[in-house]
Amino acid sequence: MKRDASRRRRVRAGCLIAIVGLYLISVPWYRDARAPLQFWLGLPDWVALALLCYVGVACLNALAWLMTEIPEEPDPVDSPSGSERGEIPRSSGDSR
Amino acid sequence: MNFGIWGVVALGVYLAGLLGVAEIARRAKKDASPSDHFLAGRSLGTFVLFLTIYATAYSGNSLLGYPGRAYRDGYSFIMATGFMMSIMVVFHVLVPRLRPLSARHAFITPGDYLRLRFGGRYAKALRVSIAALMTFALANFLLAQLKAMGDVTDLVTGGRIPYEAGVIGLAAVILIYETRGGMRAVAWTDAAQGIAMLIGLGALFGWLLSEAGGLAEVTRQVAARRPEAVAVPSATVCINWFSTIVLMGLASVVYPQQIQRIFAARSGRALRRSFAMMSFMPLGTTLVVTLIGIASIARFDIREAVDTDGVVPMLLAEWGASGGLATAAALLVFLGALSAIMSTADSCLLSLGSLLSRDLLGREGRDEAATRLGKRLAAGVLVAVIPFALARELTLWRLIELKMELLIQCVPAFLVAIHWARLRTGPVLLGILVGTTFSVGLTFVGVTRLEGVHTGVVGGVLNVLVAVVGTLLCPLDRNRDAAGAQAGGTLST
Repeated sequence: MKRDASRRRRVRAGCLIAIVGLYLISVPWYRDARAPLQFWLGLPDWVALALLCYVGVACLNALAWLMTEIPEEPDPVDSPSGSERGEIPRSSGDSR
Repeated sequence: MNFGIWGVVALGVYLAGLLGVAEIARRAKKDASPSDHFLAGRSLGTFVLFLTIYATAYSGNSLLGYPGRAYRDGYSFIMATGFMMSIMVVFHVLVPRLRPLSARHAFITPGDYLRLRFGGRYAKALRVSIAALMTFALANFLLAQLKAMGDVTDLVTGGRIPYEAGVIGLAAVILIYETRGGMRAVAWTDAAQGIAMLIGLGALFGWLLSEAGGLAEVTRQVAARRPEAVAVPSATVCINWFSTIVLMGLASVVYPQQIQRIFAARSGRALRRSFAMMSFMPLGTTLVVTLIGIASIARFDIREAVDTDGVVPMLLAEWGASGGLATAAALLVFLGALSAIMSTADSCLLSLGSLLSRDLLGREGRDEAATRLGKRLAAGVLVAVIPFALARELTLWRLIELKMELLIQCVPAFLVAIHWARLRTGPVLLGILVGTTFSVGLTFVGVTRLEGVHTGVVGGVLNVLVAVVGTLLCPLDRNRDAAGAQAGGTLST
């Protein structure tokens, strides 16, 4: 169980790092603005490359979300019948 | 474009449908608590949650403003697909920690998290400052939707219902269904509206491509008519591209209505699946509207920036003019666009009600009176915004940017605070004041970008620096930091 959780965390972290890399590639900052245009998939090549990067981002991000652990919590008691006033519990100090 | 009486009939049927859904949602209400009204009793499952997040994220700006911007900028606006995707990426920083806290402490508004996380003598000032920023940004967003609603109604009905009557009439319909059905009505109508939007956009894009003879032909025509629209972007545009990804990604994550959808989810699993599906939606929506705007370069010659928001209506006018099925399809696309606009406006309004009553005015009760106050405040804001919507000078894109530059100032209080237990209230408040003053000050003197970077992003960096350095300069307090860690989520699991 622990090993599975650890594998999921690693896959998620790997996806997020790859996403940052794809974002860096998607913006054509490394291209010479005066370079002759090539067309690819019916689009200017720098647009097609950006688009492929964004397809990659979508797939990796979806995988990262499926690997994300969001702990389930019991139902909160927040209806008038449960906690009439319902203020958030406070603790003292600067950060609560 | 004139759909004649059929435009009025279709609009009438659509609005009647929305009111019908609101009535069903009203009957489904369990009680009159703010949790039930503003968060649908935290009952949203994967499918409805996904569609409501989708319909809320893609708005009048997406359907009318983005094609206009793509028309002006050309292919470099492909950046929009990237920045819309970045929102779902940045949510990774917030959701896994905020969701368990929201479930445990029954949050209703973003301010509930701030109330839990930040204390001390500056805590109230911090909450009010953030609530004020969010309220202004939401009211700005609502304004953009109202303007778009007026435009679309005018077009759908061929002027039978003029712009002004469209703004006021549709605002009234939204107010009715939002007040009666709350988040359930908003989420259910969003689900239907999201589907209508997807079908409408797909149909329009398909027609456009078949008319032009395919994507390669569109690119050739655009290159011939306006070569700079296909050229490799300059260094300044590339910097702006990165800046927009950062601005939109960070600021959209602290949209109050999106944060409230995290609270309204039935479970963490539903949330996780919804976000996974949402990752693909920029490809089916933002990319499509961007290509629609670019394809319009080859068809129209629009000189004034403010008129470029009319690119989609102009295309639909051409499509619909061919008569028969094309007219019916164009009418459906118009209703899809109207759906996108109304689904965003209703979410803004619902959030505004809870935000104003709980976070700005500090009415923390969870009874019927609190719900009633939220509804009244939302109605008040709507009435106050309508006169501004009747003025038509600003482009929709500029309205989006103004809102984002304010929202990004809220980032340290959420994204940094939830991961760093030591972050203190005073420095966060000071950071917000510095960042907001910087961004708004420069905007007032007409500077919106510094070397291609949005002033909001520069202000946001200053804001984070002040918050972090200020905190590091504060003496360490182990008790406070442990409590902060619990609220920040680092010890929450």
